[in-house]
Amino acid sequence: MRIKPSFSRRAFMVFNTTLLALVAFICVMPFLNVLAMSFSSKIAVASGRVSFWPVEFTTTAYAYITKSSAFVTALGVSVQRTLLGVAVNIILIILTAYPLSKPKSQFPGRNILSWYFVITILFSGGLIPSYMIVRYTGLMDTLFALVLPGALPVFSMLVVMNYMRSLPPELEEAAHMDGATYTQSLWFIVLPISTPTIATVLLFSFVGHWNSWFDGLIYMNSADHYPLQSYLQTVTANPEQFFRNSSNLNSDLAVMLGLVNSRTANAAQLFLATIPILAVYPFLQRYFTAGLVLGSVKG
Amino acid sequence: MKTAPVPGKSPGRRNRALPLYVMVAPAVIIVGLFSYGAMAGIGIAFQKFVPTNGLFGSQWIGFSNFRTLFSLPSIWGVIRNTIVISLSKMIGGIIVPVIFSLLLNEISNKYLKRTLQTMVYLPNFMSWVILAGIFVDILSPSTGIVGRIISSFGVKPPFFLGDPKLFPATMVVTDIWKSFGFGSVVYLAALTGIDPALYESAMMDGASRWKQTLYITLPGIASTVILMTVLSMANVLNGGFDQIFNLYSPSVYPTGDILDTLVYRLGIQQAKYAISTAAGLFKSAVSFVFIVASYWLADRVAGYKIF
Amino acid sequence: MKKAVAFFLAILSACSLVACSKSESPAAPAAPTAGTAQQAAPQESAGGNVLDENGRIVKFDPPIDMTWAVTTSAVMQFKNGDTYDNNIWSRKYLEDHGINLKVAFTADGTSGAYNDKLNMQLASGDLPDIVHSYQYDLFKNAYNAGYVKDITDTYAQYASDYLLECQQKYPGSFDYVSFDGRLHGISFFNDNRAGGTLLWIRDDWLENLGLSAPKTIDELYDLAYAFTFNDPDGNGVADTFGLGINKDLITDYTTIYGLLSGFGVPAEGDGTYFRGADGKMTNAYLQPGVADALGFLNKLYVDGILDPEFTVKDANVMQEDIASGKIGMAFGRQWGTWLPWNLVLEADGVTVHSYPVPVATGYERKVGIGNDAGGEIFFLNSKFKNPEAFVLLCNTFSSVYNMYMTPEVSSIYADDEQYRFSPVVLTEPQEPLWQPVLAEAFRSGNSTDLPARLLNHYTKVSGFESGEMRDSEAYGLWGQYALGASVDICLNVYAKEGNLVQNIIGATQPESQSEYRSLLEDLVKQSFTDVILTGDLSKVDSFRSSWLSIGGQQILDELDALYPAK
Repeated sequence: MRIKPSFSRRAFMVFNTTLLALVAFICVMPFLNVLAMSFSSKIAVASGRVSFWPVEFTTTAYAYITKSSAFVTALGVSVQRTLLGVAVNIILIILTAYPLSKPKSQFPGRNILSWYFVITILFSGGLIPSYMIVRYTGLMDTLFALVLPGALPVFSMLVVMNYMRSLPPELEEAAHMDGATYTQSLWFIVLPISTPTIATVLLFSFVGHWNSWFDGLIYMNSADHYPLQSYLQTVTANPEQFFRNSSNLNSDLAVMLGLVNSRTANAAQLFLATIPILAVYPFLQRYFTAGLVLGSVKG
Repeated sequence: MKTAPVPGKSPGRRNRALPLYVMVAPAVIIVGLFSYGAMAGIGIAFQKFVPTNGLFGSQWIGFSNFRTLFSLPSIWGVIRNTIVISLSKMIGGIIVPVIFSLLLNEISNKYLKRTLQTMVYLPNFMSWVILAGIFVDILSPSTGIVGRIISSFGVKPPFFLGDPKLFPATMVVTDIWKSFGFGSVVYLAALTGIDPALYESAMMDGASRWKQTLYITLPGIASTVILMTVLSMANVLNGGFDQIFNLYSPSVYPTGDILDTLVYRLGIQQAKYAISTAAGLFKSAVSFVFIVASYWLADRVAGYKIF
Repeated sequence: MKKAVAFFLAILSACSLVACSKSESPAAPAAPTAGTAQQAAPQESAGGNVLDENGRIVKFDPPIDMTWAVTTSAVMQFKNGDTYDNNIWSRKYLEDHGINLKVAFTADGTSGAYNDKLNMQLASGDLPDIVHSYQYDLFKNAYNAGYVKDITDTYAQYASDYLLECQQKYPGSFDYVSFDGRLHGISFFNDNRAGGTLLWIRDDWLENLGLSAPKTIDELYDLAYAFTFNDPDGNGVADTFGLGINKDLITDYTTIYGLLSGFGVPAEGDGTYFRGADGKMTNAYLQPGVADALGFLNKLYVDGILDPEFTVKDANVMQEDIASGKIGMAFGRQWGTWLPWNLVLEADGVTVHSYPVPVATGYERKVGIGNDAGGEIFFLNSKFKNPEAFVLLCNTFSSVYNMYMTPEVSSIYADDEQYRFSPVVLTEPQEPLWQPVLAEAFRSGNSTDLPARLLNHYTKVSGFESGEMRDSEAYGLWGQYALGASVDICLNVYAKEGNLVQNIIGATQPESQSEYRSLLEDLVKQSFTDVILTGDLSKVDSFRSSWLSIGGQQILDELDALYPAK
């Protein structure tokens, strides 16, 4: 049955579509602006003539970045850190979520263990104690310092656990009748049907590792070991703050002069750093709608 | 109750569960070391902490650090800022995604819908480091594009990031900008969960779209909205460190400084470790109450258990 | 099944990793950084060291290890495959003194990453042997925690003649790093005499109107009036303002410091603290001239000479206004030709000159400058057993890196920020040191005796004057060092005429100041803006009493105790 839409309905749809298009544009506008700036001349950027299209097109900003090895090095560290970090996260999430998804009868101590993990969301020791632990374990200045302290993302683990719990127990029971071990049933039965949830937490884990910056600054002993976001934080850190805190006139001057010249280069670096996210996220997008909702709301 | 068949040949529940214990062991050890190990450092909050003496050699002084903390001239302003900013973000973070998902739900063209979704989810996946770099640039009153758009209407562009009056609002708006799209995922899912038969019978009865929204759609997602509201209560003292740290400056401290940034400045920049830890513990303790309350409410109101 | 095995291997390796790091943990914390120091001690007594005629160590043999941290910057370059551990400075120190430098960490200096890292290390008892601190607080915290070595005696015994001379020349800088009269480090040498505020005026506007720079506040008014209403840029449009001030009044450039100075108020930052003529501790913004100065600004505002929208324009916007030729005159420090006035040169080829700030009738000019105690600090970890090594580094650094170094030396040791490879960096303040030397050369026209670095300045400044060079460096230096230019005025007008008032707050900041500083600054900004807009001078009195009551009095009292009258 199809009813011809009324005038007010059509007017609403036009209005609604326009509004949503505008909203969506506002969401991507800053990125377009930065992209345009990165391809514009310094002068055009400094005089505020760049909107969404490059003015006085040039690729010097990109040439400058690729010439400075710091960006490339940091990119490499970020890739390694993200691969290692996501792998560790996902393995631990699965290994923790699966046992905890079992009822108490099969896994005594389940509730105590759940609290054991949940409490770490509620309380943390703070920065300095965490720093000391990393130092005492000898992880300082290694990739593991960025990976191990957050090796188990508890919230993601809970999402996966809730999902696994919602699976009908009959699925596994049949396998166990045939003598399958827990490991086998996890691997061959539970994991394949948990793909949407795992893809979701994988996305979060990926984004989390790719985007985190503070730990890199604190735990790495040299800028060569910084992941990309830490590196970007140091080069694009709010210059005003430094400007105001500084008592030295000459360094004020250096910063202010640098400010005038660094905008295009910053724009290019910011844009390049977003590319991996842009590349990964469409592939995982179809999963997270289903996975997140199933895991978190219907648990 | 019949026991479900479980793997393992040896008798006794514990032995049968052994593989499960082996599986959780790595996480138990790592969390024990890094999370619980660091939690011991909370003790610093009750010490006259001297780095040379360490956690075990420093003098215990009870609540003195908390007294110092609450006599800082800026502390009440900071608490107020934290609550103002986080509450505004919580409220906006519920209302905007709900409205957005209701509007998006009206779009029938699948491809348009998908494209819009892809665009609005995007900012959520960007780090505040990158977004701060972008916002500092585009919000600059003299050269930023936002400033130029505003001045093209003949209005003086305000200094969003430098004016203490505007800074909190800027934080709230940019945070909602970043997260509303992704926040709408949950509501869109709830919307698809509404039984289409309800709409069909409403149409038979001649109910207008507006009436349908009012009497079917909204009640349909109400439980989700309530649940998300309750869960967001846990963030009452989370002003958003990553965002504010990367965007603030001393000129906006009066309205923009939040607990997390204060903890950072006290602890790392000014080396007042004990007071900083005390401030962090204060935040954790208050948040703990709110988190527990929100989970309890979530269970009571929406029947949602975190585990 | 193979997959499952691989899966478990992964878990096992994760377990063993944790286990291994756990077993390591008790050993590591026991002796942080002690390794190097403990090794060094027996070596010293082993006695293979090279000594000079006075029995002082010149070179450690076998070499000793010394850890430090590098403040990196985007500009510093690695030449010929140099690294942080092996570079021009590390090789020199190893060769000359048998000091083997080891990098504990490197971090960026401008973003705060370096400070954060250092503070974390201090908290966990992990400081390197030589610490380069950008914050007095960190230095003092480290001292209170017992991490800072007393180097008084070693310095007296080992310091070069040059360094001993600096100790006489810059007493403020040495007090800065002393506790109870004992030297605990070394800091940048400071001389803030060139830190005053000047009046910068566009040359073309003066010329177009046939006017000259103002000497009195009345003349300032006339000039500002003409700049506003007599179309100084000759474009036939009333698009100019007489005097550029920013909304914050007392921060960044385009401040009102210079104007206040003309009314006997030594304004600077949150207000210079000093002992007044009556011997009482006071603050610049409490001075009686404030009311007249603000009254004058109100007159400018009412007469339309100030931009009516100045209350929303910060320094960045002012920079735009200056660049686009809306502002012809503003107060600023000695580096005005570097920024913002370089923009005017770039845009329109227009130059500016700086002038002593004009003085109001019945007032004496008072120019506020910062205290000489301040700047970057270098100190030695108390666990380090060879304090002489620290002083040897200072000696060698200052013998290589100084104002007399040749271009060859400079290109090897200093340029492209090579100096960052040295754990100690000692600098003398450039402007007060160089200006007299350059001025002498300009007067005599003889540049042959100039050290290489100053020869560059000489060439650039005279090149700009003759019109041969128009680049930004030539313009910047010209604005600072030409005869009668900004530094000349600071040293030979302000300092000679006794206009300078130095902030009394040196190394020890009163705690109440760090608490109330921003509050008081805001009060100053709000009250002053209010008076400029309304002209209600009675508000100046209420400003004074609120300034005192919201914390100002507390700061003054604390200062009175911290810096007792002599």
